[in-house]
Amino acid sequence: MKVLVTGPSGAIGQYVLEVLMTTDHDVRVFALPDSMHRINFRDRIEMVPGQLSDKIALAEAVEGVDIVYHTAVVSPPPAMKPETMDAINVEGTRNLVNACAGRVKRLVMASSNNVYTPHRSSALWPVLDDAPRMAHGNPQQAALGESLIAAEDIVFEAAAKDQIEYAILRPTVVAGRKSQFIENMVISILQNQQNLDMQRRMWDMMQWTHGSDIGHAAMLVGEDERARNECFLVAGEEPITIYDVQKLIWDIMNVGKTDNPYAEIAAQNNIGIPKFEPRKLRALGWRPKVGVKQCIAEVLGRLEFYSSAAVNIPAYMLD
Amino acid sequence: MRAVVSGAAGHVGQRVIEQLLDLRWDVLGIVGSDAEATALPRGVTGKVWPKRAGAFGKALDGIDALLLCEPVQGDADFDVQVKRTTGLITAAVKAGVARIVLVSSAHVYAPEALARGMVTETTPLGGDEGGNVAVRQAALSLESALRDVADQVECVVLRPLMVIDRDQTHLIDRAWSVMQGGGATWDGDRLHPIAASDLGDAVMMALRTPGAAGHAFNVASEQAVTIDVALQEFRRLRLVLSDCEQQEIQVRPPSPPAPPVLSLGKAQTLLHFRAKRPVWGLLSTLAQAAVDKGRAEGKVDARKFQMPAALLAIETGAKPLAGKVAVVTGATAGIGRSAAVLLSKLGAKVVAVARSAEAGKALMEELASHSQTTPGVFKQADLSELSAVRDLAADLCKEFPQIDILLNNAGAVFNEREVTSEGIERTLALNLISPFYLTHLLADPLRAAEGEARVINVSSEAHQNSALDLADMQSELSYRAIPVYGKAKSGLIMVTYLFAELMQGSNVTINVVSPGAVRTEIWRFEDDQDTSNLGPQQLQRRNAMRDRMRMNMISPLESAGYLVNLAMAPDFAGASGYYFDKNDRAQSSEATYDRPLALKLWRYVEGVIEQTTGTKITGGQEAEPA
Ligand SMILES: NC(=O)c1ccc[n+]([C@@H]2O[C@H](COP(=O)([O-])OP(=O)(O)OC[C@H]3O[C@@H](n4cnc5c(N)ncnc54)[C@H](OP(=O)(O)O)[C@@H]3O)[C@@H](O)[C@H]2O)c1
Repeated sequence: MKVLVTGPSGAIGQYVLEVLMTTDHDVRVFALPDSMHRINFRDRIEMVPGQLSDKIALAEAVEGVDIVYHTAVVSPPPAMKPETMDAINVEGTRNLVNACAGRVKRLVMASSNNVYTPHRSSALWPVLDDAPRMAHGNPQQAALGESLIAAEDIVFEAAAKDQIEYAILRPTVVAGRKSQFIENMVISILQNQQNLDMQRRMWDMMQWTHGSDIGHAAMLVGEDERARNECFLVAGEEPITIYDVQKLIWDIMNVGKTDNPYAEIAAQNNIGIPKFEPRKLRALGWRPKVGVKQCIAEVLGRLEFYSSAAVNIPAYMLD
Repeated sequence: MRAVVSGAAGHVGQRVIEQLLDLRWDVLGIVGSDAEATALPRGVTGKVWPKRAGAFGKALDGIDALLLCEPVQGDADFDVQVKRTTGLITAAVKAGVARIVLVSSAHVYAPEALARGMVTETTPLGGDEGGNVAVRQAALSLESALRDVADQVECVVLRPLMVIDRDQTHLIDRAWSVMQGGGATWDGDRLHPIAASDLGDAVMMALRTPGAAGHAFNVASEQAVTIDVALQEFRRLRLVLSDCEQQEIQVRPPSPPAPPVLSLGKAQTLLHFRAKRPVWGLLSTLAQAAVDKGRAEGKVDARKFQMPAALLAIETGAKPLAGKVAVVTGATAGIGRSAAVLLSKLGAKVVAVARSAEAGKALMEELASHSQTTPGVFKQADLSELSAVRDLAADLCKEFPQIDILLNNAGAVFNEREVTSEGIERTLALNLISPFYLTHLLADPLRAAEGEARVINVSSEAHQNSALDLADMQSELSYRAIPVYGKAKSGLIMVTYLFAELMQGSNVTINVVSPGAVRTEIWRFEDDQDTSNLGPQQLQRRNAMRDRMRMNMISPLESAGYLVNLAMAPDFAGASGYYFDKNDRAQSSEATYDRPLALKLWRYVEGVIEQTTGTKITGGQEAEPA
């Protein structure tokens, strides 16, 4: 079997690629020429350089491919123009779908839980795989949601016309090697241990999923017959607020101590029931393996924070 | 390795099985029915409890572990549970099982000890009176069955006090009764429960920790909670978990810690087991299930996402506008184009009006080719020319005897003063006179609609600072693009209010809407402005500013959603003569409520139309507001 990964250096794509390395599939990637050097396992894969706007390159990339893992989708916009977002998410997906139509068996697309209609009230929990979609939030967030919904609609339309079958993944916050969101959150907590209330309000309850768990989900839905033309919510098991992140950072940096000063505020802020329930993925046997604590530990490790924060310089040396 | 798991369909059993499968164990799940057996995860063989206790035949051959995962609690028939479980233990021992883990109950301890709290595993067991007698007797029988075989196999006993998951109906019923104002029906003064998932983890640790053999362990979440606090929490959660509109973050009020009922030290040191889910989460789990029960009984409002009717219908594939005709002007770009697509997805036949034949054709192709949309028709017309409006209307009246929705959306801003071939200033002609005229001309098909026909006029926030100036309607004395545009939009609001009066009592409603600041082509008039006097840095700054502004505007699709929702949502049925800011009823500028001025404007517009087209539109009495 031959598979194609678009966006193989991205937050999700790199993990899809990593999990694929444990299968016996032939792997090809489609990537921007500029990001080729950031792709892993280059000695074991085929690479087709190109952009999603390049129909000729796309045709070459999908040649002989059975499953496409489409992760070249932009997510949280660091002040991205809506036109740029549309060019990648909407037009890019359209071009890819056109290239795949009638040739590729299944398209697995990484969308986002951003597509779901607002679900802030805990009375609406757990949100399930097929909750209604509606772009929302401030204009930039709404533009992202809209572009993802439009991309999904393109895929649905192609499936309705029997040109392709699909499985769409809608992950919540993605943790792992390239998670700007979590990194920023951890840094902001480290910089300012007080006044997290604003951020608590902004991010509310979260349910992170690690990239490697999303990678495994992608494998499942790529090949399981039951996943044909279905959308899948992808969410970890632990509902958390930013206060839990703060508490866990403390735990990691103070191994062996139990008097965590943030435990109580974290517990008070956490209602303790999941916001998202990835029911369909669970039915396929998917279980997230990487917990929140490990996601945070990864970031702290990358920031080289373990040692610096744990060092307790003796008083006499400070004089 | 091979394991037999009883209670395989329960939450504890499920959790255990998941982990066994991960470890590549071969699993036989014992369940209560065939249906439960088929629902077991892939890779697990299911077996229904045999009629005769212990009659498992060869099913247990080669078994390494027996994991008894049915909590002793609730409304189960404990006699049956004890009998069949004892039979299973005997059969498993015969089959040569190496280790048995039993989920027993902390109710084995003497009730006085439980009431005192901090119960360790060395606390005396038993007593015939007080506490939960039935559970105690059952759990004691199970533990004694295990003691009987303890010299032949390794045995581990786990003792939870209360196991919580979403299927524990006896607990959920109690939580629901508390939520409805009932009192506590729990023994003792504290709750010290454990999540089924955590108990499952404990079972696995009991299976895999060599030194656990021959021991009993208390298992529970780290904290206990007093009954009083639990009751308060249930009542608080009832509100939190039933109000779908609530956006505020809900923080649990602080409460004094309750001393634990069970002492957990032994499981922590020997099994390295610590429950992950805090007691509060367990209360929430019960509360959520209880609120669902309330919903099922119709005592709690249904779960409902806050979504405009139009978008919800599109998401669910409903076609509430099937068979209806919707005329959309300015439908080839921007807000109007998105509105046309949405209306067509809702099932309406869209009559799209604009100047560009090419863009119109592209839209028609899109509507005809997509599986969700309904084919429409395109009518080319330059709506700033009143003769074109007249011809268009005549054409529409012939082709569509009934029109259900009229979206007067075409509009534009002009940098320089332009005059139409009919001698009217173009901003005024397009943004005010044209929708006025078209609405008049389509009155018959609108009246003929079955049920309510809705007219939506698209105005703008720009009307706010631009009061109408009857003395210079054609902007001959001074021309500045935005104020002139704003005046026309003010006028549109004023005539909408009068229209609504006229149509009162008919099936036609009319409203006017400000669609928000929308990133469409309408802003291109800014690009057309002369920038030759700007230096490169000034130009860069101007462009950066403009990009930032644009990024803070809403999308045409979002804006169209508001318009279409006004045109079809039941929430607005019968509403007429209102100004809406997106989908919220709002006040238009004070000047637009000047009725005498509005009447003068009305006459003025009528006059212009009569002069240019020769049509006298105020024929009958009812056609003009008094
Ligand atoms: N965008 C905003 O921020 C905003 C804010 C407040 C109010 N509005 C109002 O919303 C409405 C739609 O604006 P938009 O932003 O979507 O504008 P847009 O992107 O410029 O689209 C205008 C539409 O009207 C059509 N049109 C323009 N002149 C026409 C004419 N003379 N005859 C027939 N059709 C004509 C255009 O098609 P052709 O070129 O093919 O004719 C196009 O389909 C307007 O009434 C505008 O005043 C917009």
